[in-house]
Amino acid sequence: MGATAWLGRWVTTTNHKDVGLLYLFTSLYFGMAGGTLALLMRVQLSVPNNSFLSAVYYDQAVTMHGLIMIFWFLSPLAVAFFNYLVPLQIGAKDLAFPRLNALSYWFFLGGGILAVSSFFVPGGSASSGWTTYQPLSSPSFQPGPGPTLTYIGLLLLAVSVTLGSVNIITSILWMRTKGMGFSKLPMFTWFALFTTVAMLYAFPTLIAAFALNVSDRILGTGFFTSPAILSVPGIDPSILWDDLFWFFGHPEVYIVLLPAFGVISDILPSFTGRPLAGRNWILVATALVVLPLSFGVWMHHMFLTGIPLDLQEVFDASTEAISIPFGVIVIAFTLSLVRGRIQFKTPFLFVLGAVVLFIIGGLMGVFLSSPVLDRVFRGSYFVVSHFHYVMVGATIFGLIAGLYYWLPRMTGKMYNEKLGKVHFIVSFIGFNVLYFPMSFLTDMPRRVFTYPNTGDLALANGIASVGAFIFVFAQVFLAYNVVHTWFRGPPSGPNPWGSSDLEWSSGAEERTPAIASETAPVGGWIGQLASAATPEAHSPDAAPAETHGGHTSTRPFTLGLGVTIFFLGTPFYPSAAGLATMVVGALAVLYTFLSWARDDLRGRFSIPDEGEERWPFAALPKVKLGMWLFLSSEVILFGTFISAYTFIRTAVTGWPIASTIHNIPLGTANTLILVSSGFTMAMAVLSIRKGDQRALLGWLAVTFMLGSVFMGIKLSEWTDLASTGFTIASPNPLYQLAASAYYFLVGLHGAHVTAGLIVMVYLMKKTAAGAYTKDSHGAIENFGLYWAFVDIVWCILFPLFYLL
Amino acid sequence: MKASVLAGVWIYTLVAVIAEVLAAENLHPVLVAASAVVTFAISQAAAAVLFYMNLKEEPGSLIITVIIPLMFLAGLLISMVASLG
Repeated sequence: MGATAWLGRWVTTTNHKDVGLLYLFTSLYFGMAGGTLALLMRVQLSVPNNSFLSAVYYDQAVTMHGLIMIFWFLSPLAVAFFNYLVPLQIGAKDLAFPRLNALSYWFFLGGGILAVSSFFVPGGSASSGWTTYQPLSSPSFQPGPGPTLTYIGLLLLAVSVTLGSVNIITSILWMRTKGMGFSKLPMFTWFALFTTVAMLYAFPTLIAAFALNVSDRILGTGFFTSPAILSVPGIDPSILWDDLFWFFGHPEVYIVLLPAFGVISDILPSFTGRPLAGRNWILVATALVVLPLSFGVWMHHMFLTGIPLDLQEVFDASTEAISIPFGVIVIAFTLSLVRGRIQFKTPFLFVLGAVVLFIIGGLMGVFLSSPVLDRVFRGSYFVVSHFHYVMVGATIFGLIAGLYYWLPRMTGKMYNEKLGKVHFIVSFIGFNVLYFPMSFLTDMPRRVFTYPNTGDLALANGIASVGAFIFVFAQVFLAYNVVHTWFRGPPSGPNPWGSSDLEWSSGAEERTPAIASETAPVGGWIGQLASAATPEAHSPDAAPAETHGGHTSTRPFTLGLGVTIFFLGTPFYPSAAGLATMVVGALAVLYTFLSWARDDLRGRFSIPDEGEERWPFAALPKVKLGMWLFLSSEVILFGTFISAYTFIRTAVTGWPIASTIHNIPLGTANTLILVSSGFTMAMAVLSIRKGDQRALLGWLAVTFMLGSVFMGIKLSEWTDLASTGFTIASPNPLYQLAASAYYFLVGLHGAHVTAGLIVMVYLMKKTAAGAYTKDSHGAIENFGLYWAFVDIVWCILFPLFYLL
Repeated sequence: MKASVLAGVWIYTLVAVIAEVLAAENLHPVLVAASAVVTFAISQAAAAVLFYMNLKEEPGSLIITVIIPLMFLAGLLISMVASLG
């Protein structure tokens, strides 16, 4: 295969395994970048009063290390496994929405490129820590387009994760092969489901937070630094950011951790020779306690911000409570070892390491649930030690175990066992030499670029820095082992671990021709499933991975490229270069949308077959389920904005009276128009359900007209408001803040209406061509949901801005 | 879903919009007016979800899927306001 064909294959692929490999290698690359930054930090801290890095560069290294490791390494590494393994484990041909899957990857890559390139842009990268606290991340403390680019990269990443979550959840709920009920779902897929549900509800909050942040930086709104908030006595202006960030941030800890638990749960039985102990207890503890509570503990990160004591007690209790299900899970893992015939292979060693390190890190975390102890530990290296034991120890060790375990599945070849064991031993030693001394540094403030030569600070830091180099050096063994296995490893056989999970039987024929003939039946229920899931019926490899004709598309790549280019220009707005870049990106996006619509009109892209096990969503079509999931993330997005607005309104006194700003009769009339469009759209759906295409076209046209009139009136309102001085540049801080909230939220809603109007043109064109019938009109049903949602959002925004 | 039901929902939402405007202008004190306005707004949203989005006739599992984010949001909103003291 020539270089062009090779590149073309990877750029156009939508195959879940290809996309999984893209995620895998891209996240490992970002992991190396983040690790390099960590080494720079450890060199700086290796001796007291060091000047290897300046304070600014150190801050940038700390910030970008955290952001890259969490957003572009840990989570995507897990997503790589989700992509590759979930369809295989549930016996599906592919994920539910292959093009959306590829698009998620290109957004992820684009976001990463934007974030990393911020180092080379005036202002440099963000330097306010991975938590990007306000007002540290405001233009007052971090001027220039560089930090803005970092935050925009994060925004794009968050959009990617949200889209990916919709895809994976829909796939697991809707694409399972015959016999793959929930009771037989492999544990890794269960944890993929848990993780993506948490992603679906957590990441929209991150989108909201960074959208407000970027709006402050580019448009000059004042959500976090308005004098109207800063002047309120007793209100810490950082609390709004803390709430938004940590409502996402704490679930993110579990989003990172849970995939590793899925790996551990899947791997243990293969190396202990007995089933996983307490499987159902693990599932119940995670689904009913960990997931809901993960959204109910975030304020323990804010004990030092001055939130009321009563609230601290509530979050103290919820944080202690969430340690209980993790106790259950750890006990189940430990019991799985009892009376097992343990094989000390590399994946098992990493699993063991992950569990041990998680216990240490978890116990340290319990101390932080106490407001009193938190006051002592919060700003110190104790916390650094704690979260690295959890995030690196449990997560990375767990995911590396998965990499060794499934490498034979990906390559058909076996890694070098001796090298794997050496990798584990050196990693485990290096990790503990690195992070254990930090747990004693309770009197050393974190995120500070140097320290005085007092007490044991120099000794502990020196040891930690040596540990960092050992730990990084250990990963060379991994890199060599993976590359060597890929190109020169010996054949592994079809199921080297004797696993009973479906991924080891479905699609095995593609790994190498020799292996295909060796594919052996597996006992137990897997045998029944495997016979139902014949390679032809259920393998995504029915078409060779290199060609997979009818299953490739350039659209995700060009859309990802266009959006990335557009976002690249935004920090430089309103300069000519920034605007030109944005225009180029917008044109690429427009071209892709038109091409994508043309592909659909001509049926160029084949859609994966549906699954047979769809309980409890059997009554819902696949795309409709995906649409509902997407809309539920939109609920969180708008809900977060509205919560932020409510916070500001509650905190600030003297808010401008709505009737002195807005034209209430005009706003009311406009609301009646949009509400009516909700009715006409519902009638459009009803018409096509009866098979009446002419009525459908008519109702769509009326809906389009009402939506257009709504937007026309809105634009006229904005023009009038601007002429009266109600703008985000208003010299009156209260008006500036009120205008910021109004234009941002109403503008976002307007963008949704405008997007709906554009889609409606496409739907009307297809309707006129007779594309929709009584039995086939999914697009109309799904658009009806979207338009009703837009209607509902306005039902909330109108009274908030015009009446209250 | 019958057309007459959809028309009924439409008329209700129109009336509710007018009612919330009148409530905001005429009811006192502010807390009472705000409560009435929020109630009308939520009832419109609920009507649209149940009838225009047809959630009323969808499986219970989907209803749970919709309720979960609302519960998280309620927790966020209450805690945020409470964090102001």
